[in-house]
Amino acid sequence: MAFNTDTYVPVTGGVNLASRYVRGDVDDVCADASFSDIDRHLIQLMQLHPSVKVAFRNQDLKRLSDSDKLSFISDMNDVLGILPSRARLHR
Amino acid sequence: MLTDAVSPRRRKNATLNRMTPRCGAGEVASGCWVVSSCHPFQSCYDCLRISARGVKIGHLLIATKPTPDLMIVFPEPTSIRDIEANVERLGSLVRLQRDAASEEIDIGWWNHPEVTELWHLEDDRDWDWRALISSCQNKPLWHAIAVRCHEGQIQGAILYRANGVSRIESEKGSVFIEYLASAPWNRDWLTDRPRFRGAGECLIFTAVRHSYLLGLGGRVTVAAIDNDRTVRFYKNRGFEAIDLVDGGTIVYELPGLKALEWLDRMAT
Repeated sequence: MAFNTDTYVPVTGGVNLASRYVRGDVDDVCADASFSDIDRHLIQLMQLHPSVKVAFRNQDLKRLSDSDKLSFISDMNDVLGILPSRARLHR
Repeated sequence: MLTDAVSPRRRKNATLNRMTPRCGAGEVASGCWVVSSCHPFQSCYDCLRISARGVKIGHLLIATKPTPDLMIVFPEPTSIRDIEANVERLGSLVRLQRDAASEEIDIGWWNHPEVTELWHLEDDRDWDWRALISSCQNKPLWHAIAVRCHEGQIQGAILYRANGVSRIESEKGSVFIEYLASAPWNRDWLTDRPRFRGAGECLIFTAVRHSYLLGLGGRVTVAAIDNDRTVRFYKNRGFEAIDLVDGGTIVYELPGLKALEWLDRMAT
């Protein structure tokens, strides 16, 4: 992977964000902090796309195996038009 | 994502494989090749013999297929440029934890002998990374990520949230970068001999990838102080200035099309 390293990244952020830059319809707090990477990704997809309905055999995350969760994510990706290979980090 | 059912040796092999492009054992989820046919072979120790063609178990060659990179799984290998040696060094993207933030950034970054006294003028001199990370502990949409170099030192850190709003594409979401900084010894305006270059850009690109994988089209928004360096940096990467807010801060957004171009360029 080779980034365009012509310049150094400037310090960015640390300013109070106006509310117009944040979605008001997404609750970003989760009571259960012990989620795995898969859980976290799935939770985010469901929070960010509440209108997307994917029929799946079990809606309870805690009762799904990791492979089921991956299938669930894959189904959601199909609906949302996400091509995961596009975001692959080439090394 | 290595399950307990996998033998310790195979788990070790799989971890090693994650560091190697285009190979990996069945349980490795991201950035590797999945050998789904290999799952029944719980005692398979030959997973290291994986090539682009398949995995060889004894005389049996099982074809492989690329796993969809469904999510970013940390730690993830990356690379940053060692300026003095003029080579790309292997590094890793990791989730930034509170203790590391406190010891290695809040304290470690600002006590480096090669950083000049000019650090007092830096915008991030008062950032408390430990407190920032504490504030988003139970928020799955928030991500604190650091890039470590081959020696294990944190060379840059970023905190972003996935519930931002795009101002260019109405009613679309965006990843909003709240905080981004490279280590002070990597800033050419603070030291005569910066050590690494590319740490910050690597982190921004991670935000772009994350945005895409979360269905936000790769859109990323940042708010940065208005100066020549910042304007040049973000415009060179396809960001567009979309707003000027109080205190001389410009809000930039990377539009979806530019993000896809960047993703495609880096994935090939």
